Amino acid sequence: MIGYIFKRLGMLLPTILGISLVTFILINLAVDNPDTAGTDTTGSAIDAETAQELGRAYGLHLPLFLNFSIEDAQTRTERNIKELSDPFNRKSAVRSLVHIGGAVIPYLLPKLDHLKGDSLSAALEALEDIARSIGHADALHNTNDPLRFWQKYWITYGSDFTPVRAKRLVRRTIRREDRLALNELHSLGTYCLPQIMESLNEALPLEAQIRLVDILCEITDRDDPMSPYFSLKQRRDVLSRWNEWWHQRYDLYTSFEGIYNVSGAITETRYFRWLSRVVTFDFGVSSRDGRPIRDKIMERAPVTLLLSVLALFFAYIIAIPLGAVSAVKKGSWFDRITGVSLFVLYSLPTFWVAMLLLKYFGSAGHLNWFPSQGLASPNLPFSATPWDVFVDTAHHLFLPVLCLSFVSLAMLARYQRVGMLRISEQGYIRAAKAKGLTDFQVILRHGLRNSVIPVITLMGLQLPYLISSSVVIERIFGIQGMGAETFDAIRSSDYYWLLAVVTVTAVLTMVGILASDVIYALVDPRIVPGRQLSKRI
Amino acid sequence: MKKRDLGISRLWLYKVNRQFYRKPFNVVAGGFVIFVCLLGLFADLIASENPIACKVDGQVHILPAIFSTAELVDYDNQSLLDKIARDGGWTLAPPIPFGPNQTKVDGAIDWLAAPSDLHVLGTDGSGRDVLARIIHGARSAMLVGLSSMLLCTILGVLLGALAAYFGGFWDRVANVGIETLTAFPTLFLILGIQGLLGISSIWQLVVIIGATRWTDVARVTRAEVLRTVNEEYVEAARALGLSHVRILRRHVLPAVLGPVLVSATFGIASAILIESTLSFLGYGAPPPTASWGGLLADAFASQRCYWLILFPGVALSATVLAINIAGEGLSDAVDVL
Repeated sequence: MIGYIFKRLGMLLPTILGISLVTFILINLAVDNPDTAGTDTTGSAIDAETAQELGRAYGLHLPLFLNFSIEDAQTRTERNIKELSDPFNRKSAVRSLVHIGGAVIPYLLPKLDHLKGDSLSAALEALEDIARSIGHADALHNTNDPLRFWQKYWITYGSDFTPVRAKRLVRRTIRREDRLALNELHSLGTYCLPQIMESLNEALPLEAQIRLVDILCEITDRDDPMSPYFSLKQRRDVLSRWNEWWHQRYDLYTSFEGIYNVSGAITETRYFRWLSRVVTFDFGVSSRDGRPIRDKIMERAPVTLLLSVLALFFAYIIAIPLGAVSAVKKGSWFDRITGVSLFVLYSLPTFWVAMLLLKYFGSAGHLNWFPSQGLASPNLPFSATPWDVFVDTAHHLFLPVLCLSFVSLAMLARYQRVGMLRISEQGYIRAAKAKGLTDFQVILRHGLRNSVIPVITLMGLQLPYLISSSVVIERIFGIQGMGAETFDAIRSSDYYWLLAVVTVTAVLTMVGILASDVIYALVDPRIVPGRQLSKRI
Repeated sequence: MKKRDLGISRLWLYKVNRQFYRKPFNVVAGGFVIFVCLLGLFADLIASENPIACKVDGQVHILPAIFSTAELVDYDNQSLLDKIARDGGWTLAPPIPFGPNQTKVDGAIDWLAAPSDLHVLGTDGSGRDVLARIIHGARSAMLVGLSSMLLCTILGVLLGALAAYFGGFWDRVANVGIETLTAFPTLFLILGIQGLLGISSIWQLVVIIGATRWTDVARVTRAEVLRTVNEEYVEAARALGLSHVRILRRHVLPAVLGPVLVSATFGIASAILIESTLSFLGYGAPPPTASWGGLLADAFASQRCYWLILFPGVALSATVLAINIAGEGLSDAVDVL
């Protein structure tokens, strides 16, 4: 049994790989397709800028599984210095050096003496832009020999460009308002980003956080400051936005050291980036409202899961007796009528039924029995007892759960009927009858209990269907769950949410299927040896 | 050899047919499905703003919408009648004299009109005739249903049969593929792809549904092929030294045809449901295309009109139901043999 469970878990791994592949194809579709923006009327296609950002967020510039030429700040700078001598690549090399910023200084300045002619002037051109970003523009402007300026600069300040020094400056900034340390940090430019980001995620007092975020804004030109008046939640959002930003670009500014140069072969790949996101449940920041996707999923998932679980519960509660009774009374009028009506129910489109129910049972002018929108009455008084709240929620949940459950109900009841019929032909049923049990006992103790097991395991397969339907149901009934958010996300091109939710729901479903398989095996050990993979012919 | 194979599969089809038509329920359902297909196929003749044939200004036009639009472009069926009353001539109007995208009748917009003699099933929020749109919606539904399922069947049979026939590694790969695609909630996945690609045409939808929904067919094919490859006649064929392709095509695939057909039939129903749900959410066929889901989306926007909710929904449910009944009947017929 344990062996089976492990084997089943082992089968999970390739499926995770498969899910990553599908998501990967999705990202590629999104990123490769920026030219359709603006051509369609709904404007749902991705635009070039978002595509680029998405590509960075999911590491599309990296190789797929193995990376033998890891690029960090140092190697990148060195490559760009080499490219300076090539007239065709000079412009892009300068641009990329400027893009990296202060982090190039410890690698570029020592090499400055070896550069000649056009390469040198290009390097100086890049350095001029960098000087502006680290606050040395004036000093540079006042000299007439920039090369000498930079040589002197390296001799004077070169020793500052070490991780230890940067770390100490960050510590000083955290401890107190230290103008001098701030200035020095600023003149290190992007070189000190790894240390700042490292400290930012520690537990810090508010003032220290504000100081660090301020210096981040100054260094990176990215305007996302923290204010002392922010609530705890807003502060967390700001921090996660910065973390996401860093996650997308850390390889630009960091120099990998020691073991990381080796392990980077695996970690600096597209697939590992994706996997680390899934494992840490970190899908970045929603482009719609700048909030972390994780928080949003945590907020929305319970609603959708509540709907799904309730729908499943009621579907089973009704389907199992219904299927069992029609199997027992096979061929009777009851069987025929339930058979036909279950078939009709199975074919009805969920969203149409939802609209009909909403129109005829939940809107003024017709039978106004149920509330039409949301999960709670807006005018519920503060003094409401938990019982009142429960009744109110149940009242709101009735129609959505009904709509979600009827298709599952029809399917499950049909399976139950078939299973029960098959069981009733088994020898042990005849044996039970022969030893003189009443019909009722035979059905309940031997028939039903055996036939329920396979139907219960269908639960795992119902989950994707229910989650799918939540898009429609939540939209029609105005419920703020994952489905409604997904719909809104697609409309406003929030691809982070989209990819996250597709992945999370797939993984959830997989875990559901796994769980029901394992439960099946636990309850009915007969299936374990019977499970054989196909033999090669 | 060739002749006998053909004879067997024809006989098989004949037997399935006879079993299928034994139940009146199946006949009705099958007839209804064919009716909807024909409706979709000839939608332009049944509901159009242009007449089928007419004689105006002494000149006879046949299917003016296709062959000679220039002179008649300003006229719909109603204004043409007025013109004929003035200038003489004759016209043969289609049974439903409105086009699916025709918003004005005789120059006037009549939006959200209740069912009347003029508009049998009323009009929608832009003044388009609901019946005409339902008829043209049958075209989108059947187009997506049939062609995406064709794609699914080709993909599914190919992958399922190859996986089961060659077994081992390839079987495991195919299994993982099937398991992976099953794990994604269909609507999330398809909506996501539609959102990422942008809505472009109905064929894109067909391809997306085809590429994501082949798993059921593949699963059935795989199971059936696994069953048949151990049969003695396949072993005999292998002993005769036939090639893999020939064994698969001649001896294995004909045996799995029945279950695949059943699974594909249910697949058509689910593809139609997916199409209408996507259209309902605004991510199906691009806007002016008539679709049942799109009609229901209009109904959702203006909830007070019962005719907008009722009729397209009934058309959709009836079609899906009929296809499901046909699939069930087919399944019974195949099982009996």
